[in-house]
Amino acid sequence: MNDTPSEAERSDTAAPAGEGTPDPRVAEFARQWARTVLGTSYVPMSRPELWSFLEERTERLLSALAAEPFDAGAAAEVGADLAGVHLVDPLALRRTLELLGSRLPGLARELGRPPAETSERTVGLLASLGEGFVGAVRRRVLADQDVIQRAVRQARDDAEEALRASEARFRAVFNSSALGIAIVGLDGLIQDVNDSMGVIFRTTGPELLGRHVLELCDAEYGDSLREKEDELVAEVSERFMVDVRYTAPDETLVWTQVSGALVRDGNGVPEYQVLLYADVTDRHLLYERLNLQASTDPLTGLANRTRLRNRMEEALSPVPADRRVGICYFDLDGFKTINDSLGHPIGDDLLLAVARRMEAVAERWGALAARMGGDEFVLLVPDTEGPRGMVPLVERTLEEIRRPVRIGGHELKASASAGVVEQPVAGTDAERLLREADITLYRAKEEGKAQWVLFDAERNSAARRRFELSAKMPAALDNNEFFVQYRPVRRLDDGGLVAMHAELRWDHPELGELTPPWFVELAENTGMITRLSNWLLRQVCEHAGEWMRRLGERAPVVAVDLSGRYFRDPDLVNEFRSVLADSGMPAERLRLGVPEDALFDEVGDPVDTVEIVRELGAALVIRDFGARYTDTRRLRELPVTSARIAGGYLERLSERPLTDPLDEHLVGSVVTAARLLNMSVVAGGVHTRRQAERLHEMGVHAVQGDHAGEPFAAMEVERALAAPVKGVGGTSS
Amino acid sequence: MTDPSRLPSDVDLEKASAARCYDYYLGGSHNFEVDRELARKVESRVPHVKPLAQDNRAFLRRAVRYCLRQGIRQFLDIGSGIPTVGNVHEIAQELDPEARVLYVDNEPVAVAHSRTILEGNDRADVVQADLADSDGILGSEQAARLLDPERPIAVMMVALFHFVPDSARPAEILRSYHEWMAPGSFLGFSHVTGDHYPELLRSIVDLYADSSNPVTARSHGEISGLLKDFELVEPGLVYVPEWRPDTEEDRWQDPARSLVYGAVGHKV
Ligand SMILES: C[S@@+](CC[C@H](N)C(=O)[O-])C[C@H]1O[C@@H](n2cnc3c(N)ncnc32)[C@H](O)[C@@H]1O
Repeated sequence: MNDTPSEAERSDTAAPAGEGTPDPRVAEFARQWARTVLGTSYVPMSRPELWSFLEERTERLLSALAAEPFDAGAAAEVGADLAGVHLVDPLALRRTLELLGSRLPGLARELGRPPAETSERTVGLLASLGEGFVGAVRRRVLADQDVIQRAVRQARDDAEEALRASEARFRAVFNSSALGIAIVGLDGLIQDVNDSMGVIFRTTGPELLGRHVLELCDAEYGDSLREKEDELVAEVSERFMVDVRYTAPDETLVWTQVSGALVRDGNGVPEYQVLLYADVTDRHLLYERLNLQASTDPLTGLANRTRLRNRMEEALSPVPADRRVGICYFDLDGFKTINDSLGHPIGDDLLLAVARRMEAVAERWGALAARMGGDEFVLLVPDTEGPRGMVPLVERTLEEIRRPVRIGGHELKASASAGVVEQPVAGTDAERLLREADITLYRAKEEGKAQWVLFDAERNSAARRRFELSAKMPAALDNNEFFVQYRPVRRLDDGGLVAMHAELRWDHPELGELTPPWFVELAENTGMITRLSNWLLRQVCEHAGEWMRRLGERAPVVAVDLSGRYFRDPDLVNEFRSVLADSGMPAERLRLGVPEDALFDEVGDPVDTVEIVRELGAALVIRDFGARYTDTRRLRELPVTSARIAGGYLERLSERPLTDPLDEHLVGSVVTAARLLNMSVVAGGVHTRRQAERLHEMGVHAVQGDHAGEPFAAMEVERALAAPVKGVGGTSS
Repeated sequence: MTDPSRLPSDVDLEKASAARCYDYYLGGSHNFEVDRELARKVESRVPHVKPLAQDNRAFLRRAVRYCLRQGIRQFLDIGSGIPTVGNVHEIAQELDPEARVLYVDNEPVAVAHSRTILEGNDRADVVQADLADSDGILGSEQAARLLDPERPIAVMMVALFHFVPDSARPAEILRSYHEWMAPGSFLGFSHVTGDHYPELLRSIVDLYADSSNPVTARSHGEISGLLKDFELVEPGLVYVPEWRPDTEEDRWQDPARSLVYGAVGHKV
């Protein structure tokens, strides 16, 4: 590959025909000729090849110039030869003629072959050469043009053939496709359809022509289809796919999956759309059935939460403006008892019966009945006209639920409570509505059973707090948010320690330290009281047992308050026994503080627990002595050792310089009553020395509260015992 | 009915085509008024466009003859255009009638023209395809019939790649051919540049912008980059008049005015 270009070319280029080695003058002439014509058009030869070619033509012209008789025909051939090697430009001819005209005769003379009549012959030769050249070039141009025209026709035929073939292919697809195919103008009007379109839409193809594509879907689906189509036609999207439903004239539902594409013309301008319709009805029916299953409560067949949610979304969509919506949240009263006493199958039947009735009512009111789970139901009423309109619906439903139900030989009388919310759609959402209805229901339950309560923002917020507290309680107990602290109870005579009083506290992460009034009643309502009290009792006994082990005889007696509801719980006894056993704590060292009410049953007889507690050896303290005077005598028979008094009137005794005679009288009579019943009297909430003094004067034995000592943790019992006895009442004054 | 499969007719005689303009510069008459109109406009801005085009054509001839001397007997000429005169099969079969040539062009009229010219020549054929569709070209029935991929071949891509915009990834296109070519193969390549006469080139680019074949000029460096997989034979990538001229007289006083770089690459 290191050959030099020029020598290489010469070596492998076939030299054109020539007779021997040309005269150098002829060769020089040819080079000159080549130089003048090269560049006017492309000559498919190397320069040396052209040289040889032109040398030969020069020779021929020289011969013709000298020939006898003179014949200009040879020159015409040379002209044609030039065109033959693609020297076709007029400029090439002009330069050739100029060169030949000015130098050919001279060359002939130099070579010693001067013809007679040189100039005449020269003119003749040049004229012939020009004629031959022009004729050949014309033939060539015509041939070229003919070829190129044929090529164009050929190319067009090919393109058309390709078009025909693809058209035929398209036709075949169009006709045989199970997919419906519609050719649709940019205006949405159907221009052509295949047979499948007729089959899918329960009609014939021709029927569909000229109709608008939006007519092939139900109104609810028109928007999404129109939107997609508009985007397509506006060239925002390349293609689309959307599922739409169509209700055929015979009411059959046809689901189709429509995909569309835009077809442009040769200049890229949108021309029409092709829409493909796939019949997906079966798939949709299946889907709907599955969907229905997924959104149906399996027991009652009512809507479940999922469907309720979906329907709420619809009912809450803010169009049209001023829309309102109603929600009734129902809960069966005492359903747990029915379930527990009669068994789940009966409970389920009851739920089913209630569901049937609710459904019937809902249907009449255009509402949706849903089961939220357990014994909770919801009615969703879209487009209400104000809270009033809800009243007949709710009352009717409650009435229906109250109607006795016969189930397997039982006649059950159920009842329900309801929370009702009715509001403008704007500014609320499904979650909030349900929560508010639930809290309203909670209020209804708080206020008693079998009634309904209408949402009230203010009341609800108080109720919500309680609701939230009670909801959080179980977890709080698990998280050790509850704790027990102790306060000394001291004798007023000598300041001696009577007992340590256990106090239950909830260290709430947001609300801070909560005292029992915050949560005991809530716990009683939710049933959480049993767990909480068991925990309290166990905690207290463990502490006291520990004190016994550490302090022996010096260990203080422990007083703990129990909720009335818990005290009456028959399970208490068992739990009590096991707690005592576990902690090694003798019952005698325990004082149980209970409300007076809790000692008696509905008909006024002492509850069984009282007797059992006495047998075990624990002492009872009446917590709210004096609250109900008239019945006080019934305490006479009971093993109650002391009474606690507390309340505003005790505080007032000390705060004012002059005590209210009525307060003094109250305290005095309570103390007297306790005395008569052989009970010692302990006053709670005694904060000041002055208070203590007054109470001592009035015959109170002992006090608790800040005056008697600060609260302390179980671990700190020694320190509490060692704390200097504050001057109390009599002794110190 | 209107047929959605209707193809935009790709026989577009309303736009000038590079193939037919080129034919005009070479002195051919395989062209139409639209083509001549554009060609004359170019000529008014670049008066030496005809010699320039002819020199590119001469480079093609020299490159083909070079390959023939290296023993190559099969040619793939992509972007072959309208074979006025001096076509690859003419050059090759003049030396060896058994030489085989496959032409490729994406312009239907050029292809139809080649077909007409090649009627009766069973050692040369044409495929209508885009350069980028190397699979389609190399896998065509014609390629199977004419070309032996196991043996060295000369692939001609002369005055072609300046019609390939960067967005069509010219380097990747070249790589796919390089991969296919048997060792010992050659690549004939020429390309328009604006390196030394940017204004002249700009006129050409502007004028061709509305034709069927807009032009992308590339620099010496860019073109070398495209050819990096090949070993360039002497004298490398140079202005075409400088590439192994037949005689000293063929050199241009100012070769850069040819506006076209040429090279022959060797796949070793
Ligand atoms: C200027 S001509 C070159 C002709 C010939 N190769 C020569 O240099 O003498 C360029 C040719 O390339 C063709 N062409 C342009 N882009 C092409 C592509 N992407 N694929 C195939 N051919 C193309 C044009 O149709 C035109 O015929």
